[in-house]
Amino acid sequence: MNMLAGIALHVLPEEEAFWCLVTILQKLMVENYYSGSLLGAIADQMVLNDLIKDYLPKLSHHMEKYGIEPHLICLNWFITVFADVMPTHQILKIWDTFLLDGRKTIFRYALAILHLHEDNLMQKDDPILLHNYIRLVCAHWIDFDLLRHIAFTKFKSIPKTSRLDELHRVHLLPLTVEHEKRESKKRKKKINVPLSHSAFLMPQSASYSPIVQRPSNESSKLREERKWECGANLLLVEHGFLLCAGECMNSSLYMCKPIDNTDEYSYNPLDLEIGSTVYCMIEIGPFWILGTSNGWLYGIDKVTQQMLWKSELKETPLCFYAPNSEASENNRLYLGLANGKLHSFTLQGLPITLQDGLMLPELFPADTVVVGLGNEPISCLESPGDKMLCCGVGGRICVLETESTQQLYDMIVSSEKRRSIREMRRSRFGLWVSLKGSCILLLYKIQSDSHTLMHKLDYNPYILPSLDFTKLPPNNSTLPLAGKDNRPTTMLVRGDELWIGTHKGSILVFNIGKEKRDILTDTQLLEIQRSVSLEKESSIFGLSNEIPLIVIPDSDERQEVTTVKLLTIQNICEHPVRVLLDCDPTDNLGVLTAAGAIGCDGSVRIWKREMKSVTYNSCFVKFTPSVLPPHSLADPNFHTPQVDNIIGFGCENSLSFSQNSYAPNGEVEIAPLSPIHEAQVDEFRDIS
Amino acid sequence: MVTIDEEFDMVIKLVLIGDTGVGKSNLLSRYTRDEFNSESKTTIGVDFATRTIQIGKKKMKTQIWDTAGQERYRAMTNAYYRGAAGALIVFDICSLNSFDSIGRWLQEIREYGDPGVPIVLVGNKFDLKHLRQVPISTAELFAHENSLKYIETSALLNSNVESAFQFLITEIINSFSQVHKDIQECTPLTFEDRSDLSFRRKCCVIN
Repeated sequence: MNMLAGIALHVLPEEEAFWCLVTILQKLMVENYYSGSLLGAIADQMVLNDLIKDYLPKLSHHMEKYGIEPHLICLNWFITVFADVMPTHQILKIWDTFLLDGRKTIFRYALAILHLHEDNLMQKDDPILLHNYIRLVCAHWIDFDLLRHIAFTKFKSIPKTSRLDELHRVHLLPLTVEHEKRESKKRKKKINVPLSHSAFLMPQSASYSPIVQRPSNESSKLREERKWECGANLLLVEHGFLLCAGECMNSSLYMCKPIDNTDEYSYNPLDLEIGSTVYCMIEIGPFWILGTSNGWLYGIDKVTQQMLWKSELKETPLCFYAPNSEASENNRLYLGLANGKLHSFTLQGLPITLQDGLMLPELFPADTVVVGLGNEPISCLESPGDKMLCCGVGGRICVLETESTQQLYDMIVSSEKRRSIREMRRSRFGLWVSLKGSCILLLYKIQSDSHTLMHKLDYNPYILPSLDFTKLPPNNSTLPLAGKDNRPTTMLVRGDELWIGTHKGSILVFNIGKEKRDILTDTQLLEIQRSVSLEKESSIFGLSNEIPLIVIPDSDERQEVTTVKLLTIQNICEHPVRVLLDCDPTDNLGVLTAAGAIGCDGSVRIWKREMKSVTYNSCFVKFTPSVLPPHSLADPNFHTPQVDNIIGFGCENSLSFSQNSYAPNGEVEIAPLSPIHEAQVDEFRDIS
Repeated sequence: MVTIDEEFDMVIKLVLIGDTGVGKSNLLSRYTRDEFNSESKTTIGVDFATRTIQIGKKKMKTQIWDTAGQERYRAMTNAYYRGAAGALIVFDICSLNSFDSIGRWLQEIREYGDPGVPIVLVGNKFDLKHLRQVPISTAELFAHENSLKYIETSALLNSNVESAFQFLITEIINSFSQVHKDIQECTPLTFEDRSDLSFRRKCCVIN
């Protein structure tokens, strides 16, 4: 098409050249000539083949014999109306008749060229020789008048355009069918990785019993939606949980409830239309509040499950924080927006009861306080305690005083734009911070006037064994992209445990503890502090020689050190882990994980501790995930659960690992990485 | 396609495939004519070139099909791949997209061509290495996983172009002579049954 426009521009002013092109495409050529599939142009090659058979039978026979198809030589003649092959002054002469007569002219000239050189072509039995010969003679044409004469005398009698069109349609049909087949095959092969943003909430309250969900009456609807990534959000509510799943233009909420006297859960979509992605959810007072990507807040009544009110923020809310979930008047709700503004308001201004027959009230709470924290989005909010609020803004954490929202200080965690703060979780040791695209988690102690980096946990070495080292080229020591694929998607602190869900569908559970240790010497301290610095990019991507565990002294008591032990590591699916949720912090019931497509078996699981009275120092913890039963055995698209894959997953290895890491005399032993890797690799093989 | 010709011991057909704009046509022109054109236009349909090379005592004609990388020419791929003895899958080291498509090209050649056809993966535009988006290690890992040979070339600087083709031709000869090892000892070998040509066959044994 560019060549057609080029020729037109050669002789016409811009506007006329444009209309010339339009005329060629719409009037002179048939449909699909320049479309993505080129089917129209290919069909014309077949028409040309027919004409060659009729008018140049000898040549046709010759070409057939050697398997030379005309499109190998003539396709560009048709697509560019000879502009690709001939000198310009000759093209213009052809174009004169082409603009008058249409495609028929191309057929005429094509036949004339072949006829003129028939004898020479007959001697060539190879498409390349033929092609090169034709190309040569076209480019150095001398006697154009002879060609024109032949085109309009010998081939005067070629069929009319209408007949050519008929032939064209005959050839087009099977081509279209084949093309469709091919396309549908391609579509099937495509792996669907829908967009889904992840964020989740700490549970407010819940009582929970074993496991397992099953879609009930709406199975057809669910089947339609099963390609969706599970759980942008998940919220524990009384006697069940609320699951939110969706893609960019649509989100649905599902209420999951236990079925009486069974271990199963049913889940039903709520009757709500949310025409956007839900980025964050919170349960507060009588509401569930949802924040969506198009900049709205929706209030949903917990009891009736009806939408009560909505409020337009004109900017996407990314995270919520509420000091507690009570419906008291002074309870403030904090909301971090994508434009770097922090909103906070109380529940006073919100309607508690639904008024029948009224439109949904569009409200904006009157007592809203807005604080600007910069230009970057506020990705997460968390309180480190002591009436402080930490806001993750790009690579910074802004520490605020909760009530007054007065800024105390800023701490820079990462100066790199692409490593902004992803999530923050409060634990009794401090605030865990994860960064986007990085496998390093940082533990900070936040005080009202200062902060200290307590610990750096690089979990990449634990996950890397899942790559098959034997497949790597021998001279290559770096592992491409490993760090990026294993980036954390979600994080959960549960008592002394730190749970991490990764982009590749793994969960890692670490036990954070404190142990009495000898006082470290100053040199040891220095060494540890050096390794804690985030400067080394190499430790984020690829293998580093750094030991995976760094023990650094607690700043207050030097005898006590923070220790990190890997309890378990488990691949739950190929999709990012979207949700890690503590089912009930008071009882050791378990953690709920969600990853993969909703409605698929195993996408939502509950992980339990088997032994109740296990101290955290002992690593012998067994997790028994419960897997969803197939919700419709008749539907072959759903797999039956593979319980064997998970049960009995190597706890002994992790025990031996943690023993390996610490020498009995209490000193830090810098253990080489390889034994750990081997242990983990074996584990992975056992499972698969 | 390995055929016998009177002037050549062997004729082999190679195909150049890969996304549009990765430099297939320039690789071809560099290899066959030692030319580089920085303003070359997109290939329409297919382009051809040949080059005769000497391997050992054998004179060999390589027939290289330079295919159009644009998606729209896909409907004609059958003809391109038919009888190809080897393929160069080309990507641009500065374009992650062109690297991502390799899987698709690989699948296509294995589907429409001979499934066991030797393939060399070529990372072109090595001269633009400061704009590199595809790390060598990633490409090597991919090549290794799919049992391809990997080589980086620059058609502009004329580096490794010769080697890339040489690489492929050697692979073809190796795989070919392995298949026919037992036959060649007893009878003169016909690589392709073309009875009308057999009378003018001169030589057809390769090692």
